[in-house]
Amino acid sequence: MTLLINFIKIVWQSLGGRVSLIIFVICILLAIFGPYLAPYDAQERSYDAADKLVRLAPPSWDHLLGTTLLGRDVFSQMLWGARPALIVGILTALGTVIIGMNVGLVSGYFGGKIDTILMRITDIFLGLPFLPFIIVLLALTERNIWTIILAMMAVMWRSTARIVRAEVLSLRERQFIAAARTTGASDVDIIYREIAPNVMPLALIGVTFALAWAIITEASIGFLGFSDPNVVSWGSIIYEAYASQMMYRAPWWVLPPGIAIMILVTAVYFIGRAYEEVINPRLKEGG
Amino acid sequence: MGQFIFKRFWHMCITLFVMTTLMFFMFRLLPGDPTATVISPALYPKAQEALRQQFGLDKPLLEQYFVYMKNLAFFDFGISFHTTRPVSEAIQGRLLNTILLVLPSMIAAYIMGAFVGAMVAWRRGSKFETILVLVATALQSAPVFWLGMLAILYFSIQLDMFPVGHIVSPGMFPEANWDMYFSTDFLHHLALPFIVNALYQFCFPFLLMRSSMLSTIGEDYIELARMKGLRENRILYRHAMRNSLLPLATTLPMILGWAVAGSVVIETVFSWPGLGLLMVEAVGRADYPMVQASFLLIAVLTVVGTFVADMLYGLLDPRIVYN
Amino acid sequence: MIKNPIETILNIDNLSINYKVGDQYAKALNEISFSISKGERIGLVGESGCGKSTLLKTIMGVLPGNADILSGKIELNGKNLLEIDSEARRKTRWADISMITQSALNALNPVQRISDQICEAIKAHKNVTYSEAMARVEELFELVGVAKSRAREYPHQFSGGMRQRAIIAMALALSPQLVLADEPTTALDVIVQDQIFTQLKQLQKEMGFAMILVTHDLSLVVENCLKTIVMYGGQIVEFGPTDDMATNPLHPYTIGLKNAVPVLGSTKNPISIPGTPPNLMLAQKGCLFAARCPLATEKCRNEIPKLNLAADLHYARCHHLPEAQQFAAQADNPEIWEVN
Ligand SMILES: Nc1ncnc2c1ncn2[C@@H]1O[C@H](COP(=O)(O)OP(=O)(O)O)[C@@H](O)[C@H]1O
Ligand SMILES: [Mg+2]
Repeated sequence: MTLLINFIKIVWQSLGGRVSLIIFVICILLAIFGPYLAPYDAQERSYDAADKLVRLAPPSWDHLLGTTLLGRDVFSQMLWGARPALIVGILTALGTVIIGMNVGLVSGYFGGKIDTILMRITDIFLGLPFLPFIIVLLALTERNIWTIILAMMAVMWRSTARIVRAEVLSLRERQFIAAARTTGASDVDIIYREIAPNVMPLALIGVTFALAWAIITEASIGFLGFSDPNVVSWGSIIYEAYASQMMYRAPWWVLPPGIAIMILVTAVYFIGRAYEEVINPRLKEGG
Repeated sequence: MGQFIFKRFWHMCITLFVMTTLMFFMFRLLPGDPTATVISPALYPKAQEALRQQFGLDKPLLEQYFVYMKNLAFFDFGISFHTTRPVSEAIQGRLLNTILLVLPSMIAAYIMGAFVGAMVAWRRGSKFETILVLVATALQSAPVFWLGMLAILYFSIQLDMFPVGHIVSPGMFPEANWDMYFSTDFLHHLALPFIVNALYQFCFPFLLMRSSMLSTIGEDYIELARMKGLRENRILYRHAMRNSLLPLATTLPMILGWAVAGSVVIETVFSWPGLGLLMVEAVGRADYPMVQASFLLIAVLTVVGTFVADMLYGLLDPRIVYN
Repeated sequence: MIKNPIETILNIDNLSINYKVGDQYAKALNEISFSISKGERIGLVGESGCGKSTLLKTIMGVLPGNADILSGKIELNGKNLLEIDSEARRKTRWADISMITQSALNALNPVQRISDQICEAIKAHKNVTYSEAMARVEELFELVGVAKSRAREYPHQFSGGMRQRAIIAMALALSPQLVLADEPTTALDVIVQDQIFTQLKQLQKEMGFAMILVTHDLSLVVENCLKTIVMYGGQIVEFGPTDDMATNPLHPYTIGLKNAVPVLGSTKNPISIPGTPPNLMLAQKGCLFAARCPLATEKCRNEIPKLNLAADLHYARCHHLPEAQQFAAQADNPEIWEVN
């Protein structure tokens, strides 16, 4: 918890970080309250006074961002769609980093054979084409938000593992680790009490990058039509627009979800970068 | 150097072996019926039986595995559920199409990214720099398929400058052949996906090169180069840029992997008949042998790309090879 | 002021430098004046952070972007380097003044062959072919005592001492008139350090270049240099013949520095001066050393001392010069340094 507060404090120091944090918090609030604010249900079809479906209506006061081919309100869909993007993003990022960190810690701390084996496995995962592999997994299993999260976690831990391992290798030789060893602390104690807190900053950076990736990947899966058909997400809005072949006549349909993803992910990147610049001063501009 | 190449090559082989094995077990074990992914349920029972015999599906799993590996060695990926023709027929040409889309745009993006990133960092602190960093981050954050859609919307539909998709105009080349790849029609179709992909791929090397340069500029050897009285251009190109390229080269395998993986969405948006599109269509039709084959080829492309990128890094950084 | 017009090669006059840090300024060099003659060896000592590297970088003309030259002249053979255009300035670098840098490991480009790093320095100033430059590199390697067969290797293949020798070879490549050496051996062990200094002195005699040796180790200066400059907080606080300064130091800071050097065969423990270097961001009111000086009085805190001639060719910046000798006698007592 103090780590998180510290993280926010550091990010808050820079202008870019501050703006990005605010954007991120707004997105989270949208994900929580969006569905309650939405004027229509995500799948609800709108009919006009003459009982005709309101197809591809441009933005108006009734439909702030217009309607889709099937007469659904784009603005409401946008509000509903924030939730899957963030749930998938955050859970995947956390899971990814937890797996990656543990692999990195164990691999770096024990070294030797364990290290070699774990790193060979990591290398193999690094060779896996990311999105295609997830698509294969989804093709073979049920398509819902949980399989998507699991499929992404199954691949994405690889980069965190590498970064954390490198850090552990350098930490292992430090004084305080040797000191802990002579007092007879167990390996588990040393790994989780002495080393882990020191790699947390790196892990946090890993969380931000994983988050950015997970959000984009979730959207890509949605766009390819492999996400849960019952859940509206920003990616699936783009998919429907694309699949309808009508999007070229209705820019209000395709623009909002893409812009939303772009803004959210940009904010996440800038948060990560603001933190990284303080943690790793070498990156600081002009430094 | 020889030892370095050999070791990397060996690792590549292991990776490929493990991946193909992984694929085998995933396709046989994940769905309920292990034969469901090999034999089309749409076939007549008799035909199903014949195939079951041919692939040894009535044999134990391990034996099936050996049959599978042997078949792979002869590029036999089984029969497509959709076309009921051998998968290897459909795959032909797809690999080349994907490479032609991904590789040139990757190379262009890397060269441009490295160059612009270096220039911007060298004269740091300009307004232009701030704007470019913001734009690149935003571009990188946008879904690439969405960028592709916008590009089609504007350049193809609004301005009518480029075709909406596909690799050549329909009917131009009924048989895909070499002439096709040298036709202006092909280049015309390639242009827009190339630009979109290159622009998207540009962001990462650009941002990385910029921050890499900013830290290289502070190095002692840059100061020494200046003290030696070298000309500014030589310091920039031979020392600052040359050394800042190292992190770029380190990440090249990863980026290449992303680019190949990302081809799935780019190809879908532009209806580009590459491996990615093939795979997406195959998943949609539950054409498992096709899914498996296209995935394996994408994986091979990634792994071989990684290997080549590793070699490139060995050339750039003598410390790797000699240690 | 301190000038010998006859065979002076470098003359620095009233040089002041600011570093901009945030929206504040740090006065890194404060009215520095001295000159160096042909073939002369001058030692430059002072705690780390006192501005030694800044001075050398100013002479080389490679100050970082946040540095500002406030005043002063740097005359090389009578020509002010601060006034000539950048191309002329580039040409004087390395050809006339070269530098042996602090950290040989970081100063060499890790991915370029050492021979190429020296060749490019030669080719930047002379119109020679690659093989001519290469021949010179091999000659230099022999000169500094590294097998010439190893010239084409990369820095990581060299040991620390060899890297330092390579840097020396590089510095001598164009037979400069003046070589600046910035703590050339701090990263090396004592034996290698010794070997390298012996060799450097030897080379200096043969080639006749002048040298400024920067170090925070007073004993190195005593062994190697005829004149010594002591810097404190960006100022020269004492300047004079090394012999004279060793036997009869005048500034309390120099006396303190001398105390901090372990004496061979002596049972006395070296004592370092308590306290921290002055904050260069603050405007100077009195003597910069006053806060750590046992002799400091009201006058020291309020009046900036001038660099005064105290003995033959021996200058010091102190209000209490007459008390120096007496103070030096008791300076090995740690208690006397406990100011405040
Ligand atoms: N690029 C810089 N920007 C700001 N301050 C600097 C810079 N370089 C050096 N300084 C400051 O100037 C002072 C002198 O530094 P330096 O010349 O490196 O000292 P020395 O070589 O004697 O250790 C120090 O207080 C240092 O902190
Ligand atoms: Mg220094």
